[in-house]
Amino acid sequence: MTPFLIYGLAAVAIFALGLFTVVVRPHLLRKLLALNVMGSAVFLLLVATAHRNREQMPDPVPHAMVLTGIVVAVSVTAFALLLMRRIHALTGSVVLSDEDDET
Amino acid sequence: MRERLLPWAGAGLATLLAGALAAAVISLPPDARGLAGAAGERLAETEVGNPVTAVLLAFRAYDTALEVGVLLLAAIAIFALRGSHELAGVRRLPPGGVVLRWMVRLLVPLLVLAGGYLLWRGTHAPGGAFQAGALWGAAGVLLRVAGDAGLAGARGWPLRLGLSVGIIAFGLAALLPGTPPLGYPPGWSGMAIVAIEAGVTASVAASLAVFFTAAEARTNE
Repeated sequence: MTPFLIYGLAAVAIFALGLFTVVVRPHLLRKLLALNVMGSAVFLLLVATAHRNREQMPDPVPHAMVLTGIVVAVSVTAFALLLMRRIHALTGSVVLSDEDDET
Repeated sequence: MRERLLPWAGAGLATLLAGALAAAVISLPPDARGLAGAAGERLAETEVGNPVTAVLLAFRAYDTALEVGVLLLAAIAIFALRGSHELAGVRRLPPGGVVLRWMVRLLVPLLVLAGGYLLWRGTHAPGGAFQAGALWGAAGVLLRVAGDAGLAGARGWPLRLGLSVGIIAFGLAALLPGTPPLGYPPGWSGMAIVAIEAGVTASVAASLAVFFTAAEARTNE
Protein backbone atom coordinates (compact mmCIF):
# COMPACT_ATOMS: atom_id res chain seq x y z
CA MET A 1 0.00 0.00 0.00
CA THR A 2 2.12 2.83 -1.26
CA PRO A 3 1.54 6.38 0.02
CA PHE A 4 0.29 7.34 -3.44
CA LEU A 5 -2.39 4.64 -3.23
CA ILE A 6 -3.49 5.81 0.22
CA TYR A 7 -3.84 9.44 -0.86
CA GLY A 8 -5.35 8.53 -4.20
CA LEU A 9 -8.05 6.27 -2.77
CA ALA A 10 -8.79 8.80 -0.03
CA ALA A 11 -9.24 11.44 -2.73
CA VAL A 12 -11.63 9.15 -4.60
CA ALA A 13 -13.65 8.53 -1.43
CA ILE A 14 -13.89 12.26 -0.63
CA PHE A 15 -14.91 12.96 -4.22
CA ALA A 16 -17.70 10.39 -4.01
CA LEU A 17 -18.95 11.79 -0.70
CA GLY A 18 -19.04 15.30 -2.17
CA LEU A 19 -20.89 14.06 -5.24
CA PHE A 20 -23.48 12.34 -3.04
CA THR A 21 -24.16 15.59 -1.18
CA VAL A 22 -24.44 17.63 -4.37
CA VAL A 23 -26.99 15.22 -5.81
CA VAL A 24 -29.05 14.46 -2.74
CA ARG A 25 -29.20 17.51 -0.47
CA PRO A 26 -31.53 20.31 -1.55
CA HIS A 27 -29.98 23.20 0.36
CA LEU A 28 -27.98 25.36 -2.03
CA LEU A 29 -25.21 26.22 0.40
CA ARG A 30 -24.64 22.54 1.16
CA LYS A 31 -24.37 21.84 -2.54
CA LEU A 32 -21.81 24.58 -2.94
CA LEU A 33 -19.74 23.38 0.01
CA ALA A 34 -19.88 19.82 -1.34
CA LEU A 35 -18.63 21.10 -4.71
CA ASN A 36 -15.69 22.68 -2.90
CA VAL A 37 -15.03 19.38 -1.13
CA MET A 38 -14.98 17.62 -4.52
CA GLY A 39 -12.50 20.21 -5.75
CA SER A 40 -10.26 19.61 -2.75
CA ALA A 41 -10.37 15.87 -3.46
CA VAL A 42 -9.19 16.48 -7.02
CA PHE A 43 -6.35 18.67 -5.73
CA LEU A 44 -5.32 15.90 -3.34
CA LEU A 45 -5.20 13.41 -6.18
CA LEU A 46 -3.15 15.77 -8.36
CA VAL A 47 -0.57 16.42 -5.64
CA ALA A 48 -0.42 12.69 -4.87
CA THR A 49 0.42 11.93 -8.51
CA ALA A 50 3.14 14.59 -8.41
CA HIS A 51 4.97 12.90 -5.55
CA ARG A 52 5.09 9.39 -6.93
CA ASN A 53 8.80 9.37 -7.71
CA ARG A 54 11.49 9.27 -5.07
CA GLU A 55 13.86 11.74 -6.70
CA GLN A 56 14.68 15.25 -5.57
CA MET A 57 12.19 17.27 -7.55
CA PRO A 58 8.51 16.29 -7.50
CA ASP A 59 6.64 16.83 -10.71
CA PRO A 60 5.87 20.59 -10.81
CA VAL A 61 3.11 20.51 -13.43
CA PRO A 62 0.35 19.06 -11.18
CA HIS A 63 1.35 21.60 -8.52
CA ALA A 64 0.79 24.42 -10.99
CA MET A 65 -2.53 22.87 -12.01
CA VAL A 66 -3.64 22.77 -8.38
CA LEU A 67 -2.76 26.45 -7.92
CA THR A 68 -4.79 27.31 -10.99
CA GLY A 69 -7.63 25.12 -9.76
CA ILE A 70 -7.73 26.80 -6.36
CA VAL A 71 -8.07 30.23 -7.94
CA VAL A 72 -10.81 29.08 -10.29
CA ALA A 73 -12.64 27.38 -7.42
CA VAL A 74 -12.52 30.62 -5.41
CA SER A 75 -13.96 32.58 -8.33
CA VAL A 76 -16.76 30.08 -8.90
CA THR A 77 -17.59 29.94 -5.19
CA ALA A 78 -17.80 33.73 -4.97
CA PHE A 79 -20.15 33.94 -7.94
CA ALA A 80 -22.26 31.02 -6.73
CA LEU A 81 -22.63 32.64 -3.30
CA LEU A 82 -23.81 35.84 -4.94
CA LEU A 83 -26.33 33.90 -7.03
CA MET A 84 -27.55 32.18 -3.88
CA ARG A 85 -28.09 35.52 -2.14
CA ARG A 86 -30.04 36.77 -5.15
CA ILE A 87 -32.20 33.64 -5.18
CA HIS A 88 -32.87 34.11 -1.49
CA ALA A 89 -33.66 37.79 -1.96
CA LEU A 90 -36.02 37.12 -4.85
CA THR A 91 -37.80 33.97 -3.69
CA GLY A 92 -37.20 33.87 0.07
CA SER A 93 -36.00 30.26 0.02
CA VAL A 94 -32.62 28.58 -0.14
CA VAL A 95 -33.70 25.56 -2.14
CA LEU A 96 -34.54 25.46 -5.80
CA SER A 97 -38.21 24.66 -6.31
CA ASP A 98 -39.65 22.49 -9.02
CA GLU A 99 -41.82 23.96 -11.71
CA ASP A 100 -44.94 22.04 -10.75
CA ASP A 101 -44.73 23.13 -7.11
CA GLU A 102 -45.71 26.67 -7.90
CA THR A 103 -49.37 27.52 -7.32
CA MET B 1 -41.87 9.12 -4.16
CA ARG B 2 -38.97 10.85 -5.80
CA GLU B 3 -37.72 12.23 -2.50
CA ARG B 4 -37.46 8.73 -1.09
CA LEU B 5 -35.61 7.32 -4.08
CA LEU B 6 -33.16 10.19 -4.43
CA PRO B 7 -30.74 9.27 -1.60
CA TRP B 8 -30.49 5.70 -2.92
CA ALA B 9 -29.96 6.87 -6.47
CA GLY B 10 -27.35 9.34 -5.30
CA ALA B 11 -25.56 6.71 -3.21
CA GLY B 12 -25.61 4.29 -6.13
CA LEU B 13 -24.19 6.88 -8.51
CA ALA B 14 -21.49 7.91 -6.05
CA THR B 15 -20.51 4.28 -5.37
CA LEU B 16 -20.31 3.42 -9.06
CA LEU B 17 -18.18 6.48 -9.77
CA ALA B 18 -15.96 5.77 -6.75
CA GLY B 19 -15.40 2.22 -7.98
CA ALA B 20 -14.45 3.34 -11.47
CA LEU B 21 -12.14 6.07 -10.18
CA ALA B 22 -10.52 3.72 -7.67
CA ALA B 23 -9.82 1.24 -10.45
CA ALA B 24 -8.23 4.06 -12.44
CA VAL B 25 -6.09 5.20 -9.49
CA ILE B 26 -4.93 1.65 -8.76
CA SER B 27 -3.96 1.16 -12.38
CA LEU B 28 -1.61 4.17 -12.32
CA PRO B 29 2.08 3.23 -12.09
CA PRO B 30 3.25 3.84 -8.51
CA ASP B 31 6.64 5.16 -9.59
CA ALA B 32 6.57 7.67 -12.39
CA ARG B 33 8.50 10.87 -12.93
CA GLY B 34 5.79 12.55 -14.93
CA LEU B 35 7.07 15.80 -16.35
CA ALA B 36 9.69 16.44 -13.66
CA GLY B 37 12.49 15.47 -16.04
CA ALA B 38 11.34 17.71 -18.85
CA ALA B 39 10.78 20.62 -16.49
CA GLY B 40 14.15 20.16 -14.83
CA GLU B 41 16.03 20.17 -18.11
CA ARG B 42 14.62 23.47 -19.34
CA LEU B 43 14.55 25.20 -15.95
CA ALA B 44 17.76 27.16 -16.54
CA GLU B 45 16.30 28.85 -19.61
CA THR B 46 13.56 30.51 -17.60
CA GLU B 47 16.00 32.15 -15.16
CA VAL B 48 13.87 31.32 -12.14
CA GLY B 49 14.86 28.79 -9.52
CA ASN B 50 11.43 27.60 -8.45
CA PRO B 51 10.13 24.91 -10.84
CA VAL B 52 6.47 25.57 -10.00
CA THR B 53 6.84 29.26 -10.87
CA ALA B 54 8.62 28.28 -14.08
CA VAL B 55 5.75 25.97 -15.00
CA LEU B 56 3.14 28.59 -14.10
CA LEU B 57 4.68 31.53 -15.90
CA ALA B 58 6.94 30.10 -18.58
CA PHE B 59 6.02 26.58 -19.65
CA ARG B 60 2.26 26.84 -19.05
CA ALA B 61 1.83 30.60 -19.14
CA TYR B 62 -1.26 30.17 -21.31
CA ASP B 63 -3.06 28.40 -18.46
CA THR B 64 -2.14 31.16 -16.01
CA ALA B 65 -3.29 33.86 -18.42
CA LEU B 66 -6.67 32.19 -18.78
CA GLU B 67 -6.88 31.72 -15.04
CA VAL B 68 -6.40 35.46 -14.48
CA GLY B 69 -9.06 35.93 -17.14
CA VAL B 70 -11.43 33.72 -15.12
CA LEU B 71 -10.86 35.93 -12.07
CA LEU B 72 -11.72 39.00 -14.10
CA LEU B 73 -14.77 37.23 -15.56
CA ALA B 74 -16.05 36.39 -12.09
CA ALA B 75 -15.60 40.03 -11.04
CA ILE B 76 -17.52 41.19 -14.13
CA ALA B 77 -20.30 38.71 -13.39
CA ILE B 78 -20.48 39.98 -9.81
CA PHE B 79 -20.67 43.56 -11.07
CA ALA B 80 -23.51 42.50 -13.36
CA LEU B 81 -25.47 41.00 -10.49
CA ARG B 82 -24.86 43.66 -7.86
CA GLY B 83 -24.23 46.78 -9.90
CA SER B 84 -20.77 48.25 -9.77
CA HIS B 85 -21.95 51.48 -8.18
CA GLU B 86 -22.93 49.54 -5.09
CA LEU B 87 -19.47 48.22 -4.39
CA ALA B 88 -16.57 49.68 -2.54
CA GLY B 89 -17.26 52.71 -0.45
CA VAL B 90 -20.90 53.44 -1.03
CA ARG B 91 -22.08 51.55 2.00
CA ARG B 92 -19.35 51.48 4.61
CA LEU B 93 -19.52 49.12 7.52
CA PRO B 94 -19.69 50.76 10.94
CA PRO B 95 -16.21 51.21 12.40
CA GLY B 96 -15.18 48.30 14.55
CA GLY B 97 -14.28 48.37 18.20
CA VAL B 98 -10.91 49.18 19.71
CA VAL B 99 -9.59 45.62 19.49
CA LEU B 100 -10.45 45.35 15.81
CA ARG B 101 -8.87 48.67 14.95
CA TRP B 102 -5.64 47.86 16.78
CA MET B 103 -5.50 44.43 15.19
CA VAL B 104 -5.92 45.96 11.76
CA ARG B 105 -3.21 48.51 12.50
CA LEU B 106 -0.83 45.70 13.42
CA LEU B 107 -1.82 43.16 10.80
CA VAL B 108 -2.29 45.13 7.59
CA PRO B 109 1.31 46.38 7.31
CA LEU B 110 2.57 42.88 8.12
CA LEU B 111 0.27 41.37 5.50
CA VAL B 112 1.42 43.82 2.86
CA LEU B 113 5.05 43.15 3.75
CA ALA B 114 4.62 39.38 3.79
CA GLY B 115 2.82 39.51 0.46
CA GLY B 116 5.58 41.52 -1.14
CA TYR B 117 8.15 39.13 0.28
CA LEU B 118 6.31 36.06 -1.02
CA LEU B 119 6.03 37.70 -4.44
CA TRP B 120 9.80 38.12 -4.58
CA ARG B 121 10.55 34.72 -3.05
CA GLY B 122 8.43 32.99 -5.63
CA THR B 123 11.24 33.16 -8.14
CA HIS B 124 13.51 30.80 -6.23
CA ALA B 125 11.44 29.22 -3.44
CA PRO B 126 7.79 28.30 -2.81
CA GLY B 127 5.76 31.45 -3.15
CA GLY B 128 4.70 33.56 -6.05
CA ALA B 129 1.88 35.66 -7.37
CA PHE B 130 -1.17 33.81 -6.07
CA GLN B 131 0.08 33.35 -2.54
CA ALA B 132 1.06 37.03 -2.35
CA GLY B 133 -2.25 38.04 -3.90
CA ALA B 134 -4.14 36.05 -1.28
CA LEU B 135 -2.30 37.89 1.51
CA TRP B 136 -2.95 41.28 -0.03
CA GLY B 137 -6.58 40.34 -0.60
CA ALA B 138 -6.84 39.40 3.07
CA ALA B 139 -5.40 42.82 3.97
CA GLY B 140 -8.05 44.46 1.80
CA VAL B 141 -10.82 42.45 3.44
CA LEU B 142 -9.51 43.38 6.91
CA LEU B 143 -9.53 47.06 5.97
CA ARG B 144 -13.13 46.82 4.81
CA VAL B 145 -14.22 44.96 7.93
CA ALA B 146 -12.59 47.58 10.14
CA GLY B 147 -14.60 50.34 8.45
CA ASP B 148 -11.90 52.52 6.91
CA ALA B 149 -11.18 51.03 3.56
CA GLY B 150 -8.51 53.34 2.16
CA LEU B 151 -7.03 51.65 -0.86
CA ALA B 152 -9.47 48.77 -0.39
CA GLY B 153 -12.34 51.17 -1.02
CA ALA B 154 -11.39 51.89 -4.61
CA ARG B 155 -14.18 52.22 -7.13
CA GLY B 156 -14.65 53.38 -10.66
CA TRP B 157 -11.72 53.25 -13.00
CA PRO B 158 -8.98 52.62 -10.38
CA LEU B 159 -10.85 49.49 -9.31
CA ARG B 160 -11.26 48.35 -12.89
CA LEU B 161 -7.61 49.03 -13.61
CA GLY B 162 -6.54 47.03 -10.57
CA LEU B 163 -8.76 44.12 -11.60
CA SER B 164 -7.48 43.97 -15.15
CA VAL B 165 -3.76 44.69 -14.73
CA GLY B 166 -3.04 40.95 -14.57
CA ILE B 167 -4.58 40.10 -17.90
CA ILE B 168 -3.10 43.29 -19.40
CA ALA B 169 0.37 42.15 -18.29
CA PHE B 170 -0.17 38.83 -20.03
CA GLY B 171 -1.45 40.60 -23.12
CA LEU B 172 1.68 42.75 -23.27
CA ALA B 173 3.85 39.67 -22.81
CA ALA B 174 2.01 37.96 -25.65
CA LEU B 175 2.66 40.89 -27.95
CA LEU B 176 6.43 41.16 -27.35
CA PRO B 177 8.10 41.31 -30.77
CA GLY B 178 10.56 38.68 -31.84
CA THR B 179 9.30 35.91 -29.58
CA PRO B 180 6.44 33.45 -29.87
CA PRO B 181 3.27 34.54 -28.05
CA LEU B 182 3.80 34.39 -24.27
CA GLY B 183 7.49 33.63 -24.84
CA TYR B 184 10.13 35.84 -23.28
CA PRO B 185 13.29 37.19 -24.92
CA PRO B 186 16.41 35.36 -23.71
CA GLY B 187 18.04 37.29 -20.88
CA TRP B 188 14.84 39.14 -20.02
CA SER B 189 12.93 36.10 -18.86
CA GLY B 190 13.46 36.63 -15.13
CA MET B 191 12.43 40.28 -15.18
CA ALA B 192 9.43 39.60 -17.39
CA ILE B 193 8.25 36.87 -15.04
CA VAL B 194 8.55 39.10 -11.96
CA ALA B 195 6.74 41.96 -13.73
CA ILE B 196 3.89 39.71 -14.82
CA GLU B 197 3.70 38.21 -11.33
CA ALA B 198 3.40 41.70 -9.83
CA GLY B 199 0.47 42.47 -12.10
CA VAL B 200 -1.17 39.14 -11.31
CA THR B 201 -0.75 39.77 -7.57
CA ALA B 202 -2.55 43.10 -7.82
CA SER B 203 -5.32 41.50 -9.85
CA VAL B 204 -5.76 38.62 -7.44
CA ALA B 205 -5.88 40.99 -4.44
CA ALA B 206 -8.41 43.31 -6.11
CA SER B 207 -10.56 40.36 -7.19
CA LEU B 208 -10.61 38.85 -3.71
CA ALA B 209 -11.63 42.21 -2.23
CA VAL B 210 -14.41 42.52 -4.83
CA PHE B 211 -15.60 38.97 -4.06
CA PHE B 212 -15.83 39.79 -0.36
CA THR B 213 -17.49 43.14 -0.95
CA ALA B 214 -20.19 41.61 -3.12
CA ALA B 215 -21.23 39.32 -0.28
CA GLU B 216 -21.84 42.15 2.18
CA ALA B 217 -25.43 42.37 3.29
CA ARG B 218 -27.40 45.20 1.81
CA THR B 219 -29.65 47.25 4.02
CA ASN B 220 -32.77 46.66 1.97
CA GLU B 221 -32.40 42.87 1.63
